[in-house]
Amino acid sequence: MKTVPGLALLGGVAAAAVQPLTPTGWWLNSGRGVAITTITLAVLAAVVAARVLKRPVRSREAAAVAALWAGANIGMAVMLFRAGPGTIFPIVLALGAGISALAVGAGSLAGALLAHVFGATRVDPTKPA
Amino acid sequence: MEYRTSQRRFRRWWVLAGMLVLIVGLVCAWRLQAQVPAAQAAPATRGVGRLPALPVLTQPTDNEVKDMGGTFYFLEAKAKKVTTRFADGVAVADRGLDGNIRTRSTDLAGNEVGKLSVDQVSARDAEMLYESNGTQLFYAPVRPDVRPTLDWAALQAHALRRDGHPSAVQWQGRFARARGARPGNLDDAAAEVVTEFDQDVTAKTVRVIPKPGENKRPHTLTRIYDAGVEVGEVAWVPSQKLLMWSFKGLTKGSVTEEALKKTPSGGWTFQPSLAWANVQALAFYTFHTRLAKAGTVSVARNDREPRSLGRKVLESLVRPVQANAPGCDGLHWLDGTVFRPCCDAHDLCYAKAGCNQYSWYWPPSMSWACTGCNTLAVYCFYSTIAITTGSCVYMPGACTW
Repeated sequence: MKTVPGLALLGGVAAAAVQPLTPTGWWLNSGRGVAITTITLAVLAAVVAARVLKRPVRSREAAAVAALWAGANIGMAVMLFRAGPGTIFPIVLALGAGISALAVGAGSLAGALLAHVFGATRVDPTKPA
Repeated sequence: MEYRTSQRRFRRWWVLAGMLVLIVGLVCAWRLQAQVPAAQAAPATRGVGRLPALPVLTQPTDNEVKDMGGTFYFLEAKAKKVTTRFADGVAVADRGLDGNIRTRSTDLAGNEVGKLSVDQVSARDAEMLYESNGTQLFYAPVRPDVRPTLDWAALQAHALRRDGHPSAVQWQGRFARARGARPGNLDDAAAEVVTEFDQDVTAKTVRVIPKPGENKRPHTLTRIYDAGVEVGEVAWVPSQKLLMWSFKGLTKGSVTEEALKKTPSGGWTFQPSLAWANVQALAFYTFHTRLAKAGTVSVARNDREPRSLGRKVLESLVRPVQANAPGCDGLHWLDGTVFRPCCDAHDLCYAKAGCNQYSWYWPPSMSWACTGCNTLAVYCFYSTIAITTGSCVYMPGACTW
């Protein structure tokens, strides 16, 4: 199960690294920031789903996606607190978690679907199909 | 075999194209939903009363209805009396303790020539009665999307007087006018507006026309007085779309159209009027006074106070930001959306109770009033997300903090 901490770290680093690229340094302060971060997370999730996840999708695969999402949120939270959390930061984190969940979920789904259509998904030979 | 491979490839491209269309569609629908103002998202149910509604002119006018936001109406509700001077008379609007508005329109000699009464018949419904020389000319519900303010009532009464005290009227934007009345922005007719707020605060805005040879542009000048003492001034230069202000010991600055374009608003979303300048002056004065007392003062006090090791560690990690930025801190992407009133109400609540973000970590550490601010903000966001109808309806009291 080295995948889970690795993906959490990957998500965290990627989400934190993309924050300075947003117009205000925090993604939820501008529409462009939301677009940049959402697309980054979705693309990352799609790549991870296509390259790392195996069929059939089980709890281990779900945990890997959840780890990517959780790591991304930890990374973004660190960046938020570095910049100054503001007066409604719990609401900010909750909304960010929701939007990032949609992005990671959609990206994972798209990645898995693309891998299935193009036949790139790895099949776990130890598990029944 | 070749046919099957080609069919598979064809199917793959269709799946890919379908997914792209689906993702783009979802993103567009979501953004549109987030940007719809409360007034449009929730079909107005007001105005369905016992009186027949006036017809509405369908063509655009110079006086279109504009929702100025929860913070504006919160501050405007503090006004007790607005006196608007025109070239040919004066309109004086008074707000009673029940929220009803009585407006007298007089000529330059002070003779009453028209009277407008606006009664709040429910939390969001109002009815208006216009009289001239003791004769009732019309009695009708106020247009559902118009929020009666003292300034609006003064302009409305003056417009009806100029229209010749009509009995057959129609809505032309936010004003009831005689059918076929000449167009034009009614705000431009006002030469001076004096707003008397509660707690002995008065603001006065006049138009300043530079003398020939003076290197100045026409502008409006607002002076605000607390207990008769001038505490600040605001100037608006329409030709440059420039707002400048100076409040001694509190705040001084200016904002340009270019600066506003970099914010989510994208620039001035309305034409500032004399009455708006008075409310804006009150906003500068009250909010900065509160922040000076509860914000920066508490930072200084916190710096001097002995702090626990835990607090020191926390402050080394988290910048102790005390003063609020206008709008949704950390969520400025949503400043122009239905969530904005939640943030404004939360900011006002924080300023009133002297809170800062530490009240989230350990609620009893500051005061339970701060916990109340935070709880209501969460509830406001939750209800707005869940119901998407604007916070004031589903968050009783939010707009009257």
